Amino acid sequence: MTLQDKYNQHPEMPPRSADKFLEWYCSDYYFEEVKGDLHELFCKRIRKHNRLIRWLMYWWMVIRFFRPYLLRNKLFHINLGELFMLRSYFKIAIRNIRKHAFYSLINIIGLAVGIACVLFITLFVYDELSYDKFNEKANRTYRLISDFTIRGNDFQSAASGGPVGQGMMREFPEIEQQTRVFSSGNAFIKYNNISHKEEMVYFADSTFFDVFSIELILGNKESVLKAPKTIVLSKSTAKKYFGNENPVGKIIRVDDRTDYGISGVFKDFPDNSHFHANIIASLSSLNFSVTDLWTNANFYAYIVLKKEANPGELVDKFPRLLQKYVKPEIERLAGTTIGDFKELNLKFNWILQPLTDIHLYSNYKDEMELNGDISYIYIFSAIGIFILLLASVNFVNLATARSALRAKEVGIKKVVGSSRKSLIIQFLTESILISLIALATAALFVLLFLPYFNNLTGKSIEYRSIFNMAIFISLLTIPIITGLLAGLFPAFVLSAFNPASILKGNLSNAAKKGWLRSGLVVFQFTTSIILIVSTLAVLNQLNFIQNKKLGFEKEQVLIIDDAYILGDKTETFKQKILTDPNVLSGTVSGYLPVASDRSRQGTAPDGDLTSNKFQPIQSFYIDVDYIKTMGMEIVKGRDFSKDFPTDSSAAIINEACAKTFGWDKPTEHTVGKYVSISPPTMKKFPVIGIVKDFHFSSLKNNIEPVILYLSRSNSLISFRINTKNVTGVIENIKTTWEDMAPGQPFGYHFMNESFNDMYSAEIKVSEIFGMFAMLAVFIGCLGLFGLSAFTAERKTKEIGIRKVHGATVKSVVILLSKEFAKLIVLSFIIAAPIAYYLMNAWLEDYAYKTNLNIWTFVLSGLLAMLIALITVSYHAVKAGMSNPIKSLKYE
Amino acid sequence: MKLKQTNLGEFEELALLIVGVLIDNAYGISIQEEIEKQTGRSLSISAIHCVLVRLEKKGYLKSWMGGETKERGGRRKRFFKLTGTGKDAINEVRTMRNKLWDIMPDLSLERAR
Repeated sequence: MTLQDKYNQHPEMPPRSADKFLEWYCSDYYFEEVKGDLHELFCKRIRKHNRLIRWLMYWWMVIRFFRPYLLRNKLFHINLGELFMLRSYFKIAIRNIRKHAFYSLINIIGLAVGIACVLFITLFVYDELSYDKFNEKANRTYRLISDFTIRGNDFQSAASGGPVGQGMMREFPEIEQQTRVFSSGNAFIKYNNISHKEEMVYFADSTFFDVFSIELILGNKESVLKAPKTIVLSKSTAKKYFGNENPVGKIIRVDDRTDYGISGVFKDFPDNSHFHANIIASLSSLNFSVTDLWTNANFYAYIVLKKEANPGELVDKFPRLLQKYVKPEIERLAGTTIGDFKELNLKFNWILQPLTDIHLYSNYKDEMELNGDISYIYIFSAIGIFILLLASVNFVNLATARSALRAKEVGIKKVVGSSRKSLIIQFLTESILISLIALATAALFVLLFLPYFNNLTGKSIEYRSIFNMAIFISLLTIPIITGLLAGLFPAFVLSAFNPASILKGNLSNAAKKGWLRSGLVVFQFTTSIILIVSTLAVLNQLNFIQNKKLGFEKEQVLIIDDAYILGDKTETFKQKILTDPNVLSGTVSGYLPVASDRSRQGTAPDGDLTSNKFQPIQSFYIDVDYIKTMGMEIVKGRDFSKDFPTDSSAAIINEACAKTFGWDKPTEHTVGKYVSISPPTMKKFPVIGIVKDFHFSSLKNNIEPVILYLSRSNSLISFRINTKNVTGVIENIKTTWEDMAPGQPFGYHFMNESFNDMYSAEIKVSEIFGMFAMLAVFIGCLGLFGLSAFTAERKTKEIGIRKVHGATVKSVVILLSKEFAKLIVLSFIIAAPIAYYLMNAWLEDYAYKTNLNIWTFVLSGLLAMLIALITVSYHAVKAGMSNPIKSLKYE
Repeated sequence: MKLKQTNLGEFEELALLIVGVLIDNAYGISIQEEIEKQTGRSLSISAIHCVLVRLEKKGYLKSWMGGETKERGGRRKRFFKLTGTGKDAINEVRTMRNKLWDIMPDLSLERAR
């Protein structure tokens, strides 16, 4: 069979694009044989593969032929004349920008705002993505996530049991190192006479500095955390107590109880770490670091895998641990042997979470700090790109709108002999020049608004990080790409004009092609309206949260922090404060319906261990004045009371709890609280009342069952006060505090503040959306302003004639605004369903939410319309007021 | 006869030999296939084309375009043939090599792994 026959059988031909490329670069002398060879090879070897492989293989061969000896002579020959033309392009571009200063300014400001937005978002995204990457072993460090199911309740915690990390290291040789971190929250540190409340105090294994690349300024990284009762401080913390003295070897007192010897000082944690320790004490100081159970979740365990280890294979080996350690432990605690985990509806497992995923992807129980969220990265990137697009749209719109004015220039140039290519280069030079000026302006904006940006995002990005390589490159490429994109369309349209018809006086088609401009304006306003609706919807939800009946009164409650310092004197302290007539009531309890202590206790209805409703339930430990002070409502039964001494072993449950247990008359039942694992024992608490459901976590969650017990819990004291004389009340409380806890820092906050803290993310989102909405509207209006100026200018004669015939200012304004108003209405029609869909998706997260209000949409639409009309009216009114004589005599 | 100093690369030598072997049917692809058949080395067509052009410039090969082919989409082939100088060049390499072989003592040597 000849090759020709093969051809006929398989009509697939080599990709034409590759052949074109070959033809372009290959000199005529060799072209024939090379193409022949390639085609022959294609038939013999390549065509049997599938389409993509064929394409790739053929292209690869063609590219490999790209060698100097084969190239056409003039391929890369630079025409000297064109080089000199560059100067001319540049000069004409500058003249044009200056001549049309008004339009240039609109373009530059719009683009600058767009570029500045993108730069800010690049900074933000770059920073978010850099979390924890400073650790040298980041790519093979993992955190162990506990993944438990107990009685059908899923429970995933960022923390794990004490022996887990070390046990794994013992069992699995592919683990190179492990370290555990224990968060002890706040602590009072005392040295000589200096005493401060320190936040973010941690305990860690001696291997801590081997896993995390935190630099030790003083001390040896192997030994600083080895001995019990040793402690290392961050540089800034050390400075507070010791100034420039060397702190190593000094003794500090923690919580007025235990002395710790300082063994080292570490450099402050970088901002882009998922946790920031100010103080780290040796974990060997804590007894339970040894005695802790496999099935607990108290420690953050990190493991470093060896370089060649495969994390997936490691996870597959975890069941071995369950058999060897977890099962015997449960059997020991329960005092019986257990069979299969599955039968008991029990699951204990661990998830390996890559260190670098923690900040953006992790949202488990017991996170160390509030993490970021990858979806915000996507949302912000999308918004950034959209805003830049909006700015580019202005550019395209103004350029095509003014094309009529430039048509003559193009015509003359063409007649004199300018090629289409040089015209395109001319227009592109202009647009790139404008975007470079815009870049300079944007850089200025970034410098000016960086502090505001940091404030908004809660980051501390410094000026110098802008000069980071990656960011620098994007800085340079962004304007060039936008310049090209924005300039490309006008360049091609303008350069395509037919010189004969232009010079004869026929306006080119492109100038009349309103649909493109209209389409782009609609695009701008659609985006703006979506952003406005989103902002309003978020604000609406925030407003709903603020005004929602929470089941307690969050206003006028003052909370005293760290009241446990008072020790046994808390009750006396409370009574003393209550003598102030402006203090209405007070309660000692660490369990508040805002951020505070939480604990879950295994609880069964009527103490029935075999019940399938046996589950961990939120338990609050309160005193007799709690319900009164919080403004909660008892719906059935009664409140705790001093008059009933037996109340100390009674319980009040919330409505959700009664519902979960399926009780009609709860006060006839008891709740059984699990008090001992071995032997399994329940203590029964008769239910004396039901409290109306109150929200104690974000409105994103449904109200969980809660049981209130009368018990000592003295980490916080709350007072309901009369707001007439707040400063007086606080002054009074402070004096009493200093009297009873001399030398200990006094701290307080209001309940509504910590309530709002729960929604800081939502508040931030509303601020950011609001800002982007404003920018989008601003850019859109800049464009409209330019376009309306152009329309008014073009219709000068028409308006003059209309006025001569008796048109009023009003009718001229309506004439000029009508077109734009139609566009806004169209934008609204497109934007409304998109915004509705997006905001519904956002609201999905909330168990308690407002419905999307029709008024949100109407208001957004009206707002966009109003702003647009005000923008347009400037030129419309100006045109309407002008003297028709002037406009008609101008030729 | 004073020989001109020839500096043939290993690949160039191979190409010359193969062109010699193929006699009247030496063109890009046949050369590529012959090299693969004889030595098991698979080389890209572009590398072979490059060396052929270079050898022609050095005067070791001459070339001419063949007639229209029914195959390869009607494209013509460029055929190569050894010139006298080309023949001399590979001969010289061969003599030089033989001479060196003759004077090398027969030793048992370690092999590189």
